[in-house]
Amino acid sequence: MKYLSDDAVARLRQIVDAPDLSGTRYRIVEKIGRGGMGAVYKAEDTVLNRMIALKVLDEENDEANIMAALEHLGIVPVHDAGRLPDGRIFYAMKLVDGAPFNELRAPLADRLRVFQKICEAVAFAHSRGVVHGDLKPENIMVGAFGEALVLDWGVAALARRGSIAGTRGFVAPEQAAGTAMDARSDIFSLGAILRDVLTAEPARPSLTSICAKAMAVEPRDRYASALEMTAEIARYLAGEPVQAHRETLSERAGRLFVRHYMWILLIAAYLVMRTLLLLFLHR
Amino acid sequence: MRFPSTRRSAVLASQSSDPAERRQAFESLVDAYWKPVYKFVRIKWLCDPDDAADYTQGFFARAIEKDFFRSYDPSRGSFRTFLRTCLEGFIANEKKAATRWKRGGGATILSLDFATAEGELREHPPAPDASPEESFHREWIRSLFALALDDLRELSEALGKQSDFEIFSRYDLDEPTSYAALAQEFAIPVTTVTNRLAWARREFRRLLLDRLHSVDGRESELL
Repeated sequence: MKYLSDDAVARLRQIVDAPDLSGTRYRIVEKIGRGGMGAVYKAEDTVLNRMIALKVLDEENDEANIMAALEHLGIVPVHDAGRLPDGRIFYAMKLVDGAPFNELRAPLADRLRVFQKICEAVAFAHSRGVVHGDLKPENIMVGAFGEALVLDWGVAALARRGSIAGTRGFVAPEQAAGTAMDARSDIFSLGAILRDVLTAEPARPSLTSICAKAMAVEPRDRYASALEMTAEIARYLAGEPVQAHRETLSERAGRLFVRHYMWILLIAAYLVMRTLLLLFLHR
Repeated sequence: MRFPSTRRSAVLASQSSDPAERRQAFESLVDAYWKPVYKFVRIKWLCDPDDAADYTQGFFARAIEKDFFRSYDPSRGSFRTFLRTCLEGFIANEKKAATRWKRGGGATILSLDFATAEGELREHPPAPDASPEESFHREWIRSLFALALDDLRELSEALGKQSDFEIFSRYDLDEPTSYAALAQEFAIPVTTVTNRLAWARREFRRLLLDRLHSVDGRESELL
């Protein structure tokens, strides 16, 4: 048995890792990244003359079928799937030109609106009986026009076979413990994503309470659906009280001021003018 | 000649009622792990070469005697980590009881080339910043790749495709060269170089995964 140097092992590793696309319509441009379930490449579709994202799976799973069944604006569309000459399963999907959600630099309100879109895509998947299982900012791509696309449904595929994973910091406790996993596990992860959005922002008790409710240890204490969660965000953005938070008097006054500040300013201006007028007339 | 085909999981095969299948399963594990085990013992416990060889022999002998690997549960982690944990337990017990296999006293059940492993360790010492566990992982990967390379050589010879292996070895293992240079050297068209390289790479990948799956490894462990 020949001794293989570290360099030789590294070269052979690359050979083993690189997908064999001979005889297919795709040509690799570069490797974009690697998830738990496989590697993703930027590739050229030589038939349609466009760039796509090609995912090559480490193991056979239903990921492509799951994504293909989820036709939604917030879920990456699958174009093609099959087996490569080297035996590996691949699927081709839309190449999203954007940045991960955690790299989005925008005002809080804009990021919350993107977050609502994420919730809507997740709610749609739940309505089709699919739990994502690995929601985290890196798995959400945001396009130049604020469109949000949820990626990487590999854990959902594994969950169907009873094998569950997730990412530390975002995975629900029951999922991490391997005891159970359902739509409420995704709600927990959405709460963790929202928590990240709020990091480095001034404290906002209403949003903090939404996070806390979504990330409750007991699944029954969380929001019952992702749509309920997006409705809470909508209330916050509209300056209405959120159900997860009992306001103090000063918080309520502050919220009402922010919500109606134009009217309040107009009335105040009117009162000041009127007072000045009265003073002038009685001089 | 051992002709590599799809190998069974060694852990499953070790529970087979067929003694030949059990033996082959054990051999698969030893092939992939004896060098990493030997080097790990040398590095982690700073054993001298003879003691490390005795511990390595003793570990595999005890593993087959006590059926260590039957208790492996894939849901709790990789087989590689499980085996290393078994090894650490074995060494700890041996040291504690001070009843380790006496040099030359323990039955030598395996024909292992410890002198070569020792030479490799001398010529290619582990990186100073690598922990013994990281070195164990690297050595395990090195062993798997080297075994798959041997399998590819055997397969190429059996199929009369020695030049395919030669081209693969020259292009992917030796100093960088070009398709054109290889075409000239082997007196074949460049397209034939491309096709032969593609065949060898595809087979190498298949044989490597065969080896990996035979020791209950996962592809993610190769990264």
